[in-house]
Amino acid sequence: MTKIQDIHSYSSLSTAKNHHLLYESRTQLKDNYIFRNKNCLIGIEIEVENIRSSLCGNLDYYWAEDEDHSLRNYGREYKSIPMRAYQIPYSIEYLKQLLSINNPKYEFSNRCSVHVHLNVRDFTMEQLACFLILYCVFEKHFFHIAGTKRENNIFCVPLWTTDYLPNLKKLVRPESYKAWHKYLALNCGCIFGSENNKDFGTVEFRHLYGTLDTKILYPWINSIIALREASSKYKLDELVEEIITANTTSQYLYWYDTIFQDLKISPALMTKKDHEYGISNLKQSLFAFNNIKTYDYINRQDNHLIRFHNLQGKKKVSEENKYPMDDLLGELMGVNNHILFIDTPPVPGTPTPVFTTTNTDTITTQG
Amino acid sequence: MLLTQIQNLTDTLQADDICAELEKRYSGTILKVTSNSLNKFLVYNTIVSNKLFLTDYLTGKSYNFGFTDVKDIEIEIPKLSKGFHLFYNGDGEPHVVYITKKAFRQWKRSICKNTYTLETVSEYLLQQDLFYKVTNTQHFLKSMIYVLETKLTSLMINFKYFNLNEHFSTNDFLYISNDFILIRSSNTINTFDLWYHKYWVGHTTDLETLTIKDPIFKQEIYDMLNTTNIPLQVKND
Repeated sequence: MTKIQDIHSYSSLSTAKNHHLLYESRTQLKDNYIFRNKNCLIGIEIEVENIRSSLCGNLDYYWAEDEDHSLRNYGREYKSIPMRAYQIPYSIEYLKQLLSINNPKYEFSNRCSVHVHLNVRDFTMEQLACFLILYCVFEKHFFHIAGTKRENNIFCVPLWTTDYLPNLKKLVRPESYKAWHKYLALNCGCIFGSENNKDFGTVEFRHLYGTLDTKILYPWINSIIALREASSKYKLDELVEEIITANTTSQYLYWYDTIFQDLKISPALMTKKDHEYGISNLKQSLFAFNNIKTYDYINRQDNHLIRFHNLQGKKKVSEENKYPMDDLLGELMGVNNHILFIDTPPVPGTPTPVFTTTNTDTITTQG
Repeated sequence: MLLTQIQNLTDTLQADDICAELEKRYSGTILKVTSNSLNKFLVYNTIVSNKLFLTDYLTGKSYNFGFTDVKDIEIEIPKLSKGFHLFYNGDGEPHVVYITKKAFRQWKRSICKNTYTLETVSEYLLQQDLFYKVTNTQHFLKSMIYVLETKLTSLMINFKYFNLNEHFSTNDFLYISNDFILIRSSNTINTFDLWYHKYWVGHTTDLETLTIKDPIFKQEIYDMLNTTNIPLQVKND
């Protein structure tokens, strides 16, 4: 089966295994934690403020320090190497120790966050699609842990508030992920790389607020691993079929129990409505555009145009029966517009579309 | 005091940073401003000499507030959920728009073109195509303000004793909820299409029986019919 690492060329992962094995063999953990899959590869980014004394020269294991311009008050970001899940407690205790020695007054303001990168290079595209589908079903679970404050944060926008999730056909195409936006709570742009993302072969969970509290951090990472484990158990067509036919709360709760087990949160928080909402939203994205396409009302310097296509399977209204859109929007808003209709969908490589109605002097079309 | 409000809005106490943070986070966005004499959705314009300038996009009127001399004021950041929204424009005409969030720009904290997508819907009948993405700033902000104002004032309709025939004798669409609208078909004048978000899920010709197009959203349709008591009976294909 073709894996993501077979269809995209990645730089090799530097884990400095022996160097860290030595450290781990001589270190006694204060607070160990058993993750669902101890070998799962994870990367962590932790933003911290009030770092008056840089740790750059002191970081011998796991972490590198970086500047982050979204932070203030001597903010720094700590980026881990790709770690196996069992190494996470070692790395967190190591960082905490260094921070408390060198910057005992380090703090997490509301600008700070923790980003977790989960390796998906060994996924097939079908597994990736399953992972995304399951994430959408349980996106509220992740936001309940991260808190409602993060839900409204523009740095990590929930997928359910947008229509960015590709539909079912596009979900298994690598190109769909190259247009993914960085500030969605689940950032898939770093799987293959995109305008604002490097190609790490990971999905990035951006939800969590800044913290080094292991009671929050470890279950959070374990929830992500649980989702990964679950997604490898499904076949895409079977999962989609289950999503379509799922219509009872007991069914949703069964999935939730099976996937998250002890990590699931109280039904008082993760309610029946949350489960229903996750499924309904997911279906909208997966199956939307089966019978419609969206249309852009494009603003140019002196004129505006509307690109539109037909509702599939519906008869087109004849041109003479069309009501000019400039009149419509003008009436609606009390603003005069210059609007242009394009009669046919723009297809790359075909001649310029025919313009049927215009009251503009100059025409600018989108390529 | 306004200064305290602004400190909260910018998460900052340092005077030097406040203006830069305000500009970065709120320029061109809609804010709900409440005081003894004012209760409006205004658009952030600029700050000059510790004065906050806001514009009423519906009237064109400009307002300015001194950071330290305005005492009885509250500024809120309005939010809107994904889905259909009803609004009444200045002439009291109802319209429906479809709203989603964007993850486009990191700094904006309130409603503006960089954070939300607005698509006009109720012109479907005349234009056939349901979702037009509005990118003109003025149209966008005006529609959003109308939506916010309508949300404040409108009451939930009780559909139990609702006469759909009577409604559609003078209207072309019925806004049911964030999730559903029923709208006169652009093809056949006496057919009404039910839309679940961006999905065409069914239709009715007699305004009594609803034909579901496919089973994917059957559950959502039944839930909607049960919760709203809208007088439609499902007839399966």
